[in-house]
Amino acid sequence: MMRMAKMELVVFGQYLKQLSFSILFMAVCFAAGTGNTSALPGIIFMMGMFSLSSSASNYDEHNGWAAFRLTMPVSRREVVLGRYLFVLAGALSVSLLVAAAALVLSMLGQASMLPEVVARVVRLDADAMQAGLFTLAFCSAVGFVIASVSMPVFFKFGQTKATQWLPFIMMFLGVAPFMIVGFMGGEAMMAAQRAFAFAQTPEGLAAFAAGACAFGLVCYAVSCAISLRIYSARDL
Amino acid sequence: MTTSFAGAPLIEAHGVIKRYDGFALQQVSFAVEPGQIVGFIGQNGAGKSTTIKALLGLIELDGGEVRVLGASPRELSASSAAVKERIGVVFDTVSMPPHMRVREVGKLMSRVYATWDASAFERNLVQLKLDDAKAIKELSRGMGMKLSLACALAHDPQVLILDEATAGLDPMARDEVLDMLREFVAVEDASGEPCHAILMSSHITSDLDKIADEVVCIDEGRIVFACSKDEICDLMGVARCRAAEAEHVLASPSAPDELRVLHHDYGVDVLVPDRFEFARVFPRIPCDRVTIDDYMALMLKGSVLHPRGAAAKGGDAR
Repeated sequence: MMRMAKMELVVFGQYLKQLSFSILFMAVCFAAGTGNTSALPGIIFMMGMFSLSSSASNYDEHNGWAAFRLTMPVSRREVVLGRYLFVLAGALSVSLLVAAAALVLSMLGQASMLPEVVARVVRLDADAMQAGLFTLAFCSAVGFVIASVSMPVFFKFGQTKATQWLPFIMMFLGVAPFMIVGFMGGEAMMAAQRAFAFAQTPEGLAAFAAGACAFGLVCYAVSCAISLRIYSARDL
Repeated sequence: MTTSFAGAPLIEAHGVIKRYDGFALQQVSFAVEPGQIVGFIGQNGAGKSTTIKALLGLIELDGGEVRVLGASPRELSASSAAVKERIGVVFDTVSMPPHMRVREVGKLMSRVYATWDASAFERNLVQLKLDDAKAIKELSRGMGMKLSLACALAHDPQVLILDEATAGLDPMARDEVLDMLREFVAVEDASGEPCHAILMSSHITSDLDKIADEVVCIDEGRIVFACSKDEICDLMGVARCRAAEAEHVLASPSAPDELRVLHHDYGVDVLVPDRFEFARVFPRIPCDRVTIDDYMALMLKGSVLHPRGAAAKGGDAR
């Protein structure tokens, strides 16, 4: 698995540099737009999961790379496990970098080393931290779900075919929770509102964050198992 | 590192079956022995690449058995290292992401192959005149094929499986590559026995004329012939007959039991098993050395005649 992850690092070296610049640009725009930086790690994690899973499968399609890679000393199992590891590690790394940068900027702002207008944006007080944790939990769950759904489809069909289906699947998954709550009626709506209210308390936030992360990780693990099965039987 | 299998072929296919919609590999069998270069020929869509994919475990078989260095496709597909380290593969395109630079390809290979020889790769790049700063997408097809060969030869493989590896190369570069392949297959183990082998699919049969030991031809998913190249090129001949001369040959008591002929607008080509004997018996009929191209055309497009029995099979005597 490490062999495959190392291969991915070489293949994606250039792309990761480009991704870093676009993430930096997005982060600046987002912070300026919302007036704070607390939500950035979560949003960047979600973006990372989405773009890395999609781009990785895009490269597989070029020049028959996916088939050629299997003639090298890596097994199909290693390809799948290495890909899942790489996507998660990549998204986690950029998210951590952004979190660290946000923290450093906040400290610089507190030390009056930044202009007032910038210091206000990068300030991380208790409320901002709480909002940031909520966003991180929510966005990481969404990021995990996006990658968990798309990666088995990519492993099954390759990107060209998969992109014919994925927008529909993603749209359905985005709308489905609201449809389900709608079908279940007013009581379900009330329960959802109560859950959101609970999530705004410290205990509720901790439970929500833990639940969202666990849900995301379980989805990712199940998706990985499905991809292993799919890819072991795929003709390339 | 080389491994011997006590006289066993390094690559073997037995009764391989793979079915797709509208195409199937049907009972494909052949073997590549140590020290051999086997040319794998056939028309577009005949099943060459599918057979190669079957050998490499890239597709699941519907029947039959294949082994490369003693490993089945399932083992190749599942195994991560040992056997695959010793198989060099070149497909008909440079099979790596196009944004990568040549030097990054070397870096990638060094991460994957325990046996990767960076200095051998550098030497191959110099010999094949490849600029390591260029991106794959900037390489011409020929240069891309050179890069693939440079990679395949730099991790000390025991067998090379080449799918149209000389396509796109200019004649000079092709000769250089053929020399490298000859050098590769000439390697011997400690006991002086040949230990390397090459399976090489190609449309450029002139390359196979130069280096192949055996030629295997596939058509519509079936093996049409598999024989020694010397048998074809050294002994056989193609008699360029006019219609009357062809009749004369067919009526001759010294004609073999079975003759393969190919009709043209301007005459008839007759495949003769021994061109020297033919020239002695029919001194007035020009009889050329057979190239692999001629032989393939006669086998795939020609018809079989039984002169003395006058029973035509698969065609007419016209």
